[in-house]
Amino acid sequence: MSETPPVAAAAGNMAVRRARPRHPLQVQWTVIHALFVRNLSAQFGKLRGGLAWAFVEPLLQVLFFTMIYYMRGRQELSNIPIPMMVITGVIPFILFRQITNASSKAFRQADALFNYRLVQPIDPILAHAMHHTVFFIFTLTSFLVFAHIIHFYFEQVLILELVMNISLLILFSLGFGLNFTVLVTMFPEAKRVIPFAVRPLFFVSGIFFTAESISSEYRHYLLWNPLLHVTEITRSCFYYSYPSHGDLGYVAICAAISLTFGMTVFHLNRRRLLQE
Amino acid sequence: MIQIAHLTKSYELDDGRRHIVFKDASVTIPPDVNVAILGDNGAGKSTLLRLLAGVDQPDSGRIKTKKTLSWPVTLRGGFLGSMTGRENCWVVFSVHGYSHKEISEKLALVKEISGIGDYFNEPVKNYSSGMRVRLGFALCMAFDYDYFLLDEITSVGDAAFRETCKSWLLAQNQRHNIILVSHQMSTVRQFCQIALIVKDRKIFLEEDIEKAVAPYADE
Repeated sequence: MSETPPVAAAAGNMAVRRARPRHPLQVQWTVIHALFVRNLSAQFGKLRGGLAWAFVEPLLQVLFFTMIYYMRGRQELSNIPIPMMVITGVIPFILFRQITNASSKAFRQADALFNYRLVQPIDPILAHAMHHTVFFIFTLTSFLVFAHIIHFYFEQVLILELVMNISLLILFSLGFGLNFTVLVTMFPEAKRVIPFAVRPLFFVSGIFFTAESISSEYRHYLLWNPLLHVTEITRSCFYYSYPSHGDLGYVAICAAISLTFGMTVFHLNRRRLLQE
Repeated sequence: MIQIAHLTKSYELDDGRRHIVFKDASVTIPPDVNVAILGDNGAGKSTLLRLLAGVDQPDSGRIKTKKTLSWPVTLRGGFLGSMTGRENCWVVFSVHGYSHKEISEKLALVKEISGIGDYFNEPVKNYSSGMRVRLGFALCMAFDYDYFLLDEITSVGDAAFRETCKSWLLAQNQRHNIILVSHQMSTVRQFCQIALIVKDRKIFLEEDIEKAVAPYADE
C-alpha cells in the first residue's frame, strides 16, 4: 500500500464532467423524477403496509356499501351494479384526498433537499401527485379487472374521456394541495383542521349514491360539488346506460380556478415557504 | 471572479418586522483564491453563502460569475434523516441528472472518501454530527464545481477529516477553490488567502489574511 491518501487517488480518478446547460423544464423533470423514484422505493421498501393499505381501504369501502345495499335488496342503482358504483366513486376520491391532504407533508419531508438549488418548492408536491396518480391507475385497473372476473361486467371504456376527467381531478386537487401547503406553513394548526374539512366531502361526492337517485329537488345543490361531477363522469365512462349528471366543462372550470388560485398563492409565498 | 453588486437581503421575522442582513453591499472576489467569510454571529455569513449558492434569492442586486458554485455544505447537510446515506446520495446525484451507471460509480467514490464505512447504509438520523459532515463533504466533492461553499464544517471534523480536506485541496492542484465560513482562525489561515468580512450590513474584502483574522483571533 502506498502512502497516497485515498482521497487524492480518488480525485485523480474522478471523471471531470461539466454539466451541459439543460433546459429548465428538463431540469425540473429530472428532479421530479428523482423524487418520484425515491417515494416509490420508500413505499416498497419499508412501508409495505402502506402499499397494502392502498388496496385494502377501497376494498373495505366497496364491501361495506355493497353489503348495505344488498341487505336492502338492491343489486344496482341507476343501471350500475353496486360494487362498480362504489369502485368508480371511492378510488378517484382517494386520489383527491391524498393530493389535497398530504401535499404539505410531502413538502415538509423533502425540505432538506431545498439545499440544492435545482430543487424548487413545487417539485416534491408534483412528485407526490405523480406517486398517487400511479397508485390510482394500479388500484382502479386491478379492481375493475377483478370485478370483471367475478362477473361484474362493465359495458365500455371511454378511455379518452376517463383520462381527461381524471387529469382535471388531479389539477383540481393540486390547486388545493398547493393552497394547503402554504396554509400549513403559516399556521401549523391547520394540519389538524384540513382533514376534518375534507372528510365531509366523502358523503356528498356520490361515492355510495348516484346523482340520479337523489330527488331532483335537492340534486342541483349537490351538483355544485365538482367531485360529484367527476364521479358521475367516471361511471359514464364504463356504462353507456348510466344517466350521468356530470359536466366535464364544469369540472374544467373548477380545476382552472383551483389551480390558478393555488399556484398564485404558492408563488407569492415561495420565499416564506423556504424560510421555514 | 465573483462580482457581488448592490446586494440587499432582508428576512421577515415572526413578529412581522424585517431584519435587514445586507444593504447595498458590493464586493468583487478575485479569481483563483480560497476565500474565508468572517464576521460576528448573526452578521449574515451563512446567508451570504446561501445567496452565493443560489438557494436563496436577494431582494435586489446581483451576483455575477461565470464560475460554478456548489450548494452550501453545512452541519445539518441537506440530508433526509429517514433515508440511508446511500439513498440520500442517490437522490442528490439523480436530481443533478446523472445516469444510473455514473451514479453507482460515484456512490462507491463517496463511500470511500467519506470514510464512514458501513454507516453508509444506515439512516442518516443515526449519524453523529462528524459523520454527517464527512458524508456531506464527500458528496459535494464528487461534483466538479469551481467553488465549494463550506459552512462551519471544519469545527466538528476531527484531525483525520481535516487532513482529508487538506489533501483533497492539494490534490486538486488549485483547480477548485473554497469559500469557507469558520470561527477557527487556524483553519482559516491554513486554507484561505483572502477574507470577506461581513459587518454592518456590508461586505468588505481584506486581501491580507493575517490582518483579517486579527480581530477574531481570540475566539
